[in-house]
Amino acid sequence: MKRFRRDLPFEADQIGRFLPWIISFMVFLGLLALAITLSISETINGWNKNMSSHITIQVPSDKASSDDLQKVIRILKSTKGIEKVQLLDNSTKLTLIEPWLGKKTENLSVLLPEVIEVETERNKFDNISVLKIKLREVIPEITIDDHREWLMRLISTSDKIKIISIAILLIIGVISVTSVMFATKTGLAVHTPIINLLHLMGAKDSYIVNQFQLRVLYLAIIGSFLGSVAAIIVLYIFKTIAQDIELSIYSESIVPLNNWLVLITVPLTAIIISVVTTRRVVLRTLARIP
Amino acid sequence: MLHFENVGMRYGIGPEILRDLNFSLGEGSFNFLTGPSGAGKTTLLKLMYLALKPTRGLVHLLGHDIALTPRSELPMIRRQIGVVFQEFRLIPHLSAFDNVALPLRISEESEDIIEKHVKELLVWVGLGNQILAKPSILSGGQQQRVAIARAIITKPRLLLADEPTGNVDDNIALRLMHLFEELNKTGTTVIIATHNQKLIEKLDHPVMELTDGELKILNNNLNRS
Ligand SMILES: Nc1ncnc2c1ncn2[C@@H]1O[C@H](COP(=O)(O)OP(=O)(O)OP(=O)(O)O)[C@@H](O)[C@H]1O
Ligand SMILES: [Mg+2]
Repeated sequence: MKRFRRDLPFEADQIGRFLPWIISFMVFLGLLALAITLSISETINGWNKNMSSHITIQVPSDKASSDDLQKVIRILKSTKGIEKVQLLDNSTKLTLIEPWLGKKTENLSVLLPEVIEVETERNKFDNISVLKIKLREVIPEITIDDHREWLMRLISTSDKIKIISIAILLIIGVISVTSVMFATKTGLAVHTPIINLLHLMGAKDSYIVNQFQLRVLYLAIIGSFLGSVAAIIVLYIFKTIAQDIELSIYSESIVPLNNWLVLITVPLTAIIISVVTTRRVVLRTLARIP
Repeated sequence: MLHFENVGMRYGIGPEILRDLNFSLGEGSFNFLTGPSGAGKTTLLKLMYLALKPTRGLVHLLGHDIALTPRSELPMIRRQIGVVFQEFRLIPHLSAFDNVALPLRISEESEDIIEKHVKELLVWVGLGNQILAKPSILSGGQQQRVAIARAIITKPRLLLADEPTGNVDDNIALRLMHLFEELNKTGTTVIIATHNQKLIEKLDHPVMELTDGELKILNNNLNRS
């Protein structure tokens, strides 16, 4: 093993003092942004799986002849993307309204609308408006509840949140690169006389670059570690609070710490960005010396 | 070994400091470089140790046409050149030992060899008791000897020294000259820039004289007679 060489007086520059803090702050923000995005998209995905595949169709009982009803069912069954069509019987309907009206409701059954539950194949069914027109031709009073509609709105909101957090992550990335570049450039300025000397003695660029790179690697690891620890603490606090107040969105999937494989990309990226940026700045500066 | 052809040098848009230099130095020669202050001695040495590129003309060094040598091959050429800088350029936070060891470490020598050779050389230049001293606590003359030791530790093919005796008395100056002559006997080509006329006269070597940006090579013996 070659000994770790340091010919440059790194204590003389300010890099060691502020680089770890910048990096830890960036990693902290990055982790929070990513964790929140993950938890929102996981929650919504969960809803999506449960609900997007259901359509509820109701027909006021006095408006539907059983012929018409059968016709509606036939149309539904022949529609592409529909998996299952079920006309609910009275007892099922009664259990559905039980929470509101109580148990003694048998004589109500005549007044209850006919209800058809439709299950669609996920993502393959999207001509709901055509279907609506077709069904209204048969029974004008028919109502069609498509859970997908509001779900879509929710999903588009969550997409916006995702875009915002990706933007935040990008901004954090740009700030990190800029500050590492700034730090390295300042550092280089302080060390220019020695760098020139090493260069004149026949040091290859890599000999000089490696010293900077090792140093920044070390600082970036410290910074990333601190930032990650802080973020994990904050996320755990979130999680505890969310569980206490049974915030449904948060309760399960917030603090997706089980997603650590995704989350670990934040500190890793920070470290890679730091090292690569340093390398490029130093090499570019060295290339200017003949 | 060293060949200049129509070399001219100016800094930026300033006047031409060196004009139409044409000369060759043979492998193993020992040369003085002299001339009034500001004549361009340091500038000429910088062209030789590849800190500067000439504004015009051709520099041939250690078998390479420098203008045509790719950047990636320059470190290997630089490692064969030892330089004693006029202002020493010791690294302040490194000990005398580490300063002298630097060229060997750059060439990736093993630490065992470094340990042995550096100590030997430091003893030889009379700094056996200051091996771990930082430059700041060394006298000017001692710093100069560290700088010289650093320049010769790799047994370079070309040794360039810029006023290497500026800070020492005549006795030590003469001792250092003998050190350079020893090195010269092992094949190193030596060029020493100096104002010290007494020293030049004591030793019998060709003298390159810079005046008004032009170079004359005088044979020392003829010069004296
Ligand atoms: N980096 C520079 N930029 C502009 N001009 C310079 C630079 N270095 C040297 N010069 C000018 O070049 C001329 C020659 O300088 P140089 O240092 O080569 O002289 P010198 O012969 O070594 O002098 P001295 O004996 O005092 O060391 C001087 O007029 C100096 O002002
Ligand atoms: Mg000079």
